[in-house]
Formats: sequence, C-alpha cells, structure tokens
Amino acid sequence: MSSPIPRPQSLARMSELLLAAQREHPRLGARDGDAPPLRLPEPVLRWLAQLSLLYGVPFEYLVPDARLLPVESLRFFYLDRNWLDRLIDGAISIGTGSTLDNVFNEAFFEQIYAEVDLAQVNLRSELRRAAAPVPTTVGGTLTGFLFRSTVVTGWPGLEVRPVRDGEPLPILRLDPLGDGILLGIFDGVPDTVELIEPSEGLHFGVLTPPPVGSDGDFFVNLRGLGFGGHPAGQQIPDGDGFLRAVGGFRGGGARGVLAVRDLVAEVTRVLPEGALGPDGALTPAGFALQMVRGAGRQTYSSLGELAPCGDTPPKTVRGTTKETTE
Amino acid sequence: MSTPKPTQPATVAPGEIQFLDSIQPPLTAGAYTFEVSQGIEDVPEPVEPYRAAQPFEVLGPRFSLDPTSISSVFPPADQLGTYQNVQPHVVFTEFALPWSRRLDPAAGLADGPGDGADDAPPPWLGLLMVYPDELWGVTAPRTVTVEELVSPGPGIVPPDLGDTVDPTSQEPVAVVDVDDALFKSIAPYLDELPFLAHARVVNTDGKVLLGMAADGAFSLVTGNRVPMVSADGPSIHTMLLVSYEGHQEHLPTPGGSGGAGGEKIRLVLLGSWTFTTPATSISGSFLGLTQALCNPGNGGVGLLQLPQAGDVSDNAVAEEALQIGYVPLQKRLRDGETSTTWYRGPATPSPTERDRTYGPYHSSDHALHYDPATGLFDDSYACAWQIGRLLALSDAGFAQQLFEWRRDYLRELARVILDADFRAPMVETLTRPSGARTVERPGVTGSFTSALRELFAAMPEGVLPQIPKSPPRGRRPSTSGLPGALPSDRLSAWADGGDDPLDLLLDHLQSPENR
Repeated sequence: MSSPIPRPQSLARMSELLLAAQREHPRLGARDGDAPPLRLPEPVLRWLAQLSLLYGVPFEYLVPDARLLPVESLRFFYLDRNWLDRLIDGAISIGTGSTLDNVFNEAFFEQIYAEVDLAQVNLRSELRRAAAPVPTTVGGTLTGFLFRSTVVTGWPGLEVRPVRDGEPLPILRLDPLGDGILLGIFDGVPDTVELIEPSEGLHFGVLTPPPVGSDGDFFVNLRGLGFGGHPAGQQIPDGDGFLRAVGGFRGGGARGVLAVRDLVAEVTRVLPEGALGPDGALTPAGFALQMVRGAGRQTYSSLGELAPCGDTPPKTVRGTTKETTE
Repeated sequence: MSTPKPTQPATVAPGEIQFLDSIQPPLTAGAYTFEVSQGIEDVPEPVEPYRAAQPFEVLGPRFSLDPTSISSVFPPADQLGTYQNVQPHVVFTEFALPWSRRLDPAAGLADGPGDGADDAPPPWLGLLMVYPDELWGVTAPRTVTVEELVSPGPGIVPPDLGDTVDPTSQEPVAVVDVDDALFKSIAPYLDELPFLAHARVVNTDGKVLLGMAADGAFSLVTGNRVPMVSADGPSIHTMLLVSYEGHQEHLPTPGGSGGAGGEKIRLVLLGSWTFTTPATSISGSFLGLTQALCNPGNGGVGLLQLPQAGDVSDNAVAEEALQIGYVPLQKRLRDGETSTTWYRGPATPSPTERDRTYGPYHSSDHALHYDPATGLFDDSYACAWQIGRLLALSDAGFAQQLFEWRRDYLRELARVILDADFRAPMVETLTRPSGARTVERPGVTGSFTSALRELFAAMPEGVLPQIPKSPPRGRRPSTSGLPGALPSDRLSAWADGGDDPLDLLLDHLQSPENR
C-alpha cells in the first residue's frame, strides 16, 4: 500500500477533524465540516450487532456459576449495556497499528455504538427476512430470559410473547443455547412474558390426561358451532373450565386408535341443548371443529418485581383457539 | 355451520375459517353417457324416435395423486416433535378431492348435487398411521400394474373395483399389502370415514393465520390414530395415504368382525411420509411442565442471581454484590498469586445505566476495575473486552473488513485535509481573474506574486518542503548533452537516406564523441 499514508505532522490536524466529526453525527443531517461522513459497511455493522446480542459469547460468560441457572428454571435479566459496549470496544480494537487508529476509535466509538444499537433492533427481522420494525426508541433497556427446561427440548417451536401494557415488545433474539436452554432478548422491559406452546398452525388432536374419575383415555374441549347461543369456534365454558367430552381408544390390538364413532356419540350427548343446530346431529365439519387443538399458554408476570416461587404462583391461562367459523 | 351439501366455496370474512362437511363435485369420477331422443308426434305414420348417445368420462385421481395437489401434511414430514395426542392430517388444494370418487365403485354415479343419495358421503381416501413396531405388517411400497392390483394372487385381498377398470390394464400403480389383522385394528369403521374428512375455506386477509398463508377452499383428510411415545428412544411413525375405493366391505366393523378375510389386504398407496416423536423423557404436557418449575427440586422462576447460601447480612459489600448479580470467582494473577475477583456477565438482575463518560477502552486491562477499599478486582468488563476482541480476531472476514474500512476512511480523511489546507487555497489564488488579483485576506493586497508569497508564508510549518519543485524552463538542461539525442542535421539525413534507424542510433552511440 503505497499511497497516502497520513504523514505524522498531520496527525494533530486529523485528530482534530475526527473529533469534530464525532460531535456531529453525519447520519443525522447534512454537515459542512471537513471530515467525510462515517458509514459502517453493512457486513461490519451486522457482525457488531450480532455481537451485541451475545452471538458467539461463550455460555460460561453468560452464566458463570451453575447455581445461577439450575435445572427446570426460568431466569429473567436485564442486559448490561456497558458490558455490550466493552464487547464492541474489544472487537474494534483489532488491527490498531498506530496511534492514529486509536484516535479513530476514540473519535467514533459513540457513533459506532449508536449504529450498532439501531442495527441490533433490526437484526432479527433481517434474519427472518421479515419487514423491519419501526424502532420507536433505539438504545433503550434490553431485557431477556434464560429458560432451562425439558420444555425447550420437547417443544422446539416454543413461542415467547413479551408484553408491556398490553403491547407486544420486539424480540431481538430467541435461540436455543445448546441442549435444553433457551435464550431470549427483548427490546424493552416487559411486565408479562407468555410462553406459548407451538401451535404449528391449525391442527387436530386430543388432550390428556383424562379427567380424574373417568374411564376414558383423553378428552376434548368442546366448542360452539354457532347455534344455541354458543359462538362458533369458541370453547364452551363450564364452571371453572370448559365443557369436555371424554373419549377412549378403540379396544383390540392396536394402541392409540381413536374410537371415532363413540367420540362422535359422546360429543353429541355432552353438547348443550340446541348447540348442534336444527338437525341435532354432529356433522363431519362440526366434529372437525371439536378436534381442533388449541395451544397451551403459560404466563409469567411482572419482571420488575417477580415474586420468588411459592409466594405468588404464576398465573396460568389455558389456551384458547382463535379460529372462527360462521 | 354449514349447509349439508355445499357445492362451491362460500365467501368468508377476512381472518375467518369456514368448516364444511364436504364439497361435492357436480359429477363424481367415472364413465357417463349422454342420451338424447327426439320423437315426432301427431304425424300419420309413427316415426321411430331419433336417438343419439355420447359416452363421456369424468376423470379424477385414482391410482396416483399429483404431488402439487397436496398443500401440506401434519405432522410435517421428517420432523421430530412432541406430536403426542395429535391427529395427523393432509390438506389438499383440490377442494373436492376426497369426495370426487365413490367409495363403492359399483354403487352408481351421482346424478349431481342434491340427489339426496347420501347426506354425508364417505371419502374414498384415508390416512393410516403405522407405529414403528407394526411395520412387520406392512410391505414396502412397490409399483405394480392395475392387473396385479385387482388380481394379486392367493391370500391377498384386492379392492373390489368391479368393471370400472380394465382387469388386464398395464397402468402402473403403487400399492402396499397390509396384514389383515393389523388393518382391522387400525383402519376406521365405514361409518367413521365421513368424520375423517372435511373441507375448509380460508380467508387469511393477507396475513399468516394459524400457519396458513393461502386463501381459498381446501379439503382435509385426518387420521384416526394418535402417535405413540416409547421409553426406548424416538419413534418413527409411517403415514400412509391410501385409497379405500372398493374396500368398503373390507373395512373393520365394531366388535372385531369384518375385515377382508384374507391374510393381507392390497391398498393403493397415494402417498406416504414419516415423522418422529421423541422418547418419553419428556413426560407430561406443556402446561404441566411449565407450571412445575416452582415445584420443589426445580429451579423456579426468578432473576438471574446467585442464591444466598449463607447469611451475608454482616457483609454489606458481599450482600450488595450478590444482589446485583455478581459472582465471586478465583483469579490467577500474572505473578502467580491467586485472588478472589468479582465477575458479572451481560445478564444482570438489576438495571444498569449506560455509562459513556469514558471510553473507548483500548485494552482489557484498561477495563479492569479495582476496589482499593476491599482489595478486590472486578473483571467483568475486562472479560467482555477480551471476548469481543477474540471473537473479532477469530472471524477473518470481519477483521479484514473492519481494517479496510478504517484504512479507507483515514485515507479519505488525509485527502480531505490536503484539499482543505493546501489545494483549495492554492487553486483559488492561482485561478483568480487578472483584474481582481487582490488576495482577499485581511491586510494583504497586491500583485499575484505578492499573493503567492503570502500564500506560502501562511503555509503550516513543514508543508513547504513537501511541495514538489519544478525548475523554470530557462534553467532546464539543454538536450545537446544527452547522448541519445541526435543533431537535427543527422535526423534529416536519416529521413532522406532510408537506413534502419536502429543502425543509425547504434552508430551514433558508438561514435568517439559519445564514448
């Protein structure tokens, strides 16, 4: 590289310009200063944004002591932005061959932080090839959770929904870390976090275990069919829970074969008067609607003042499906 | 809900799904004949009515399915997941497919919608789920001819397709032979078949709705069995999409009777896939497990901080450090000494304020904290710095891009400085029109020469020696002293003579005056 390596006598002048450039962020508007605008190349920016969301950071540095995250536990946390800034400092410290490079870092570190803060918000949507959210605030408080449970292994598509004042918060990262540990990072401080059983789209199935005292093998929460004052697709309340039909498996040889005709008869019997419509018979479509399976949903409230286990058990909301039929 | 026999998709509001019992095609697949007769009356002699017949056929999938007619399957093919208690299903893009063919080919063809023949016609295809330990009862899928389908050989019961197929047809068809006892135990009863197929009309309103992205009418066939779980390991389930056409008499009946009466039953295979359920290490439901976090022995729900094993209330420093998420760790110092140090990762139980008053840090030791009151180090930020550096170094692509970006920027900056401090004032001064040769700097007026003199005098120290100097034309050395330069008379002699110019040059250079 032969060409204009800056000469030593202009170092003071360059430092002066670099510091001037730092004062006025070029992306915030036109500036008539002498320094060219600073633009982080896209790949560098994305790399730094990933770093700031702890991609690649060894797990031992997140959880330095096993007692922080025992088996079957859920731990919420705030992200320490100073820690993340030090990560960036370390990353941009490479290849500093001269004082000038150090001056460069010194001049631009805040601008780099700011750009990384913005890219960090867009990273997940970029990875998912979705439209970028419109960030209302950039560089705000980041929070997250670590979930260590067999649930992570057993339900790979586990959905997480952080909510603040009823509005869902953006999820910046949601990744399993090794076996049975899930890391989530949110933009903002949620007051409620819901863990939702992966719904995998509209599908059919039964629920277990069967109610205590029944001789069945499973049950189905019954839904209205749009007749008799029961809105179509909504589970019919019954006391604390929902109206259920208990079904069993067909006897004789094979396991797991649903006794469909018995189940049809049982659903017909259990459904309240008038719910079956004028015909009084359960049709294939009506049966399919009963077999639609909703997703389980577990809510954990109030990150800020999360009560330890025992004092106030987490609220539970049983899943209801959102299908509607008319 | 739905009318008993809808024949076309209805309109559905945005974001809604309509469930239909069935969508019946106007004509089911099969052979038909148009017959026309025209009689003439009131004529003296009776005339034989004119008659015409036009046979035609309604085609529909029978021995194979176009793969594009399958929209999706659930559980997804080759997936591992907790699919216990799930009824598998197939979604077809052809909304009338399950009802496009009569289950009993001999029952005659529908005259059209509203003929009142069947209120809920059974679908002609269905899903069979085979557990991994039942695969003994199912032969591997293979392709045979239709001839082999309807006359398979002793012990194997074929579908009773009657005269609707050519018994010698060599058309290929994929089949599986299922053990009769197994078939009887896992196949649905005849009167259960209608409940294992339905149609739906979806209006997603442009958004993905419960995993569905496509709008329109679809038909579905569901299985009648839920997957198993085993303690021994993952269970691979095989799903078979088969045709029951002609098997209406062979389907099992309640009480264990029915069945085909042979050893095996031959089924037309329209498609198959597998999925896997994990071993039962995961016991219980999603809700059961998520609620069990707070049970004794489990970790519970809380903030990421170390549990206080003992009473630290007499040590204010330790108490506070643990509360805000610090962990005491052993540290080996460079001189070999061992010391206790505080460490806290990026995840903290209490919010922190971003501190930008100082930075950036140029080395990891730069970010080391030391509390002289307790003699303890805090290595948190030093660790973060070091991880950031190591990760950056481990990614050669990033390292190079970062380096090049910084170098390019500094080059550009050097150019800008050169322009701003030297080139621009120079150009401005030199190109000023002759009538206005006054330098617009305070206190300086005068000629071009004085302007130049002023300009150079104002140069920052050290710049002047860097300016390349070009001697005035008058002081340039004359060409006569250059050995390769030819006198003009010899050049014209050469131009007239036509000799090789190289010879001329050689002569010239070797001539005594050039030695």
